[in-house]
Amino acid sequence: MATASKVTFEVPPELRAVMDRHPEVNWSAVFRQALLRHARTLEVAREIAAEEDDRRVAAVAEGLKAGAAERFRRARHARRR
Amino acid sequence: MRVVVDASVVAASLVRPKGWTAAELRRTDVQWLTPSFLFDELSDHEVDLAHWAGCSQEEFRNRVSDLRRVLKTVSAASLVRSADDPLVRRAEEVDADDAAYFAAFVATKADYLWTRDRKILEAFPGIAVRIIPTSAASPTGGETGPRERNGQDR
Repeated sequence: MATASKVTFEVPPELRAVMDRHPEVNWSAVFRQALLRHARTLEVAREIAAEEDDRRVAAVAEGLKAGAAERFRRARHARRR
Repeated sequence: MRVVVDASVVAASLVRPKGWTAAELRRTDVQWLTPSFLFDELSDHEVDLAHWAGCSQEEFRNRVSDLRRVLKTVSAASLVRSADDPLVRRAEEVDADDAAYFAAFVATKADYLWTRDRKILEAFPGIAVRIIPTSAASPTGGETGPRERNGQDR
């Protein structure tokens, strides 16, 4: 089972002063949450990029888009007649 | 929250059923909608589409069947009724092939149009999105019943 690993961060003195004024806050948890959120965002961006770069996705999308658009045009035209 | 999905999103979920888009479409806080014409295309051009998707016809049919369970279709009649809405007209000027999705958006009073189309994303900020927000951040806060949009985007 994977265990948690320690990571060290440098913070500016102003931030350190605020952290010291609030010892009741679990700063480690705050950092962990912020990192997790950012990591998730990066992962989503990576997955979206992978889908967008997939030529198969582009081929299927193009075929579907053109076909559905043509059907819509025909349906509109039929209503106008 | 109601979201219309376009061909680029449907294609991504069909080609990569274990990908991020397919996972998003399993979200239950969203009512997913798409023009009925898209499923007509999927049925009529199954052979070509399966080939392009890089899977067998049977596998492709299974993926479409999974998609049918999560995507509600907007009927041809509803789409045509909304075809003359100013928003649909404006979308046509950007890309005529995207008019059906905007007609679905208008017909269902949707909150967003989910697309990967850069032209549409740039031309319709606030309507066209690349990532669906969580319900809490949506204009209706996750409401699923019929309601009027404030109209500021149209």
